Order: sequence, then structure tokens, then C-alpha cells
Amino acid sequence: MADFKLHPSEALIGQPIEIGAAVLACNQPANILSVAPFKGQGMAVNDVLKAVVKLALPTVGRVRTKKHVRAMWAGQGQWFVVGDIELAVLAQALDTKAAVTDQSDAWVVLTLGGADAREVMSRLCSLDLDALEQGQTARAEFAHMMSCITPTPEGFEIMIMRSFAKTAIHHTREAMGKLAALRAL
Amino acid sequence: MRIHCPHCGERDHREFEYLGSAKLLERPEGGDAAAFHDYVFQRKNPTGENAELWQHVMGCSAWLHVVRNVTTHEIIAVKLARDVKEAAR
Ligand SMILES: [Zn+2]
Repeated sequence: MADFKLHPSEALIGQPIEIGAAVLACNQPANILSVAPFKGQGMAVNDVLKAVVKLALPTVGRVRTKKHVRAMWAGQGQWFVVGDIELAVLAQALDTKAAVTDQSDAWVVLTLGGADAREVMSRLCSLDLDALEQGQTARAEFAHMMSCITPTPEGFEIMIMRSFAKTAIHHTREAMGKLAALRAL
Repeated sequence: MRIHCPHCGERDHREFEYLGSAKLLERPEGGDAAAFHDYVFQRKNPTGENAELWQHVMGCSAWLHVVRNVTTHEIIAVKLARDVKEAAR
């Protein structure tokens, strides 16, 4: 099979962007695989995943981690398996049970940390951040774009489509700058 | 206006896309031209409660069956369109 993988030419964010008390960085995982179970195959998919990555699909709005692999809910009937897991391995294991596609080049994983991460986030995303707990993940609007928002101990992980990444960075940088200016008053 | 997505919880209406009347779920079988004309073109224009299809396009991507009061914008009920379609079978 031809290799359709796009190879990175330059880092999206070379050095973490630190403005005020917030830090924006790119934390791209090795792989992002989309798993969409075929009708009635949810349990069978769970069995396979438990055998291959020691993880079952989390319920709606949840994320689960086992060693270097993470399974996160990514919308109706769709999950992302993220980390050290090869497409060929999962695609073969789930063969007739789920549609498995490589999203590694299609999504970008940004992290927003620092003491003001929440404040910056609230300027970009209408999610109720107080209600978002560790272990949860949400599909939500981020700076007018579709995203996956996952709270982390350091702040938030923002998954955004690759083609929107620069826009997301631009808006986040702007929000960080405005908040820092406000804090300096 | 906020819509309670069965998957994602209550979200701002900017996360959703409006398609139109939930009558779109009732696609007629067979080749009756009159029935299909009715399905494609005829819509009620109620004041008050109306069943509509919305998609949580910025969220979980699910199609939703939303009963909304078009006069007050009150959201009365939200279900997955999939479930409504299944129940009608
Ligand atoms: Zn939703």
C-alpha cells in the first residue's frame, strides 16, 4: 500500500508560547486512530481493544488511559485511540467490527497550561469549565472551530483539526495576550 | 437559547446547525409522486411547538429531534433523531 502519511516539515509550535501566566504548547502523540464500531459491534470492539491495548471504549464524554495509549470518546459512535498504537495493528484486529482510520495527520493536540489556563480557556470556549472533571472529555466549540477539550492536571488539552491549527494558535495567543494585559493594569 | 444534547449536555445554540422540520425523518417509501412532493415541499408553519432537526455540529455530530416553541424559543424536548426514527419503525 502506498504511504499517504504526510511528514511534518516544521514544528507547529517550536517553543511553548508563554504569555502572562498561560503556556500554549503542541503535544502531538505518535498516532491518533479513529474507531467507529459497526452497528451492533460495540461489545465485540471492546473485547478486541481489551486484548490489544488493555482498554475498553469509555462511555460518552469520558477518556481512559493505560500506559502509553488513551481511548477517548470523540462524538456519536466514534472514539479516538491515541498514542503508541499502529494503524495496521488496530485495523487488522478490528477488521469486520469497526471502521478504523488514521487521523494522526488530521488532528493537532495543543496543551494550555499555567495558572491562567482556565481564564484563557473561558475566553475561547463556551463549555462549563467548572463542570468538566478529570477523566472527562467534551466535543465543543473552541474559537468557532470544532474541537475535543480534555481537562488535564496542568490545564487543558485542545484537539483541533490540522487545517485550523494556526487559526487556533492565533486566537489562543490573542486571548493570552489580552488576559495578560488585563492582569498588568 | 440553549439546547440539551442527549450526549453532551446543555450547550449554547451556536454549537448547533438547524436543518428544518422533523418531517424530514418521514421519508415516504415507494414511488408515489404526490407523497414525495408533500415530503419535499410541504411544511406546516406553526406558531408554538414545532418538531425540528438540529445537528450538534460543533459537538458530537449527532442529529437531534428538537421540539421547540417557535414563538418563545423554549426548547421543550430533545431526543436523538436516530432514536425517534427507530421508535417510528
Ligand atoms: Zn452533542
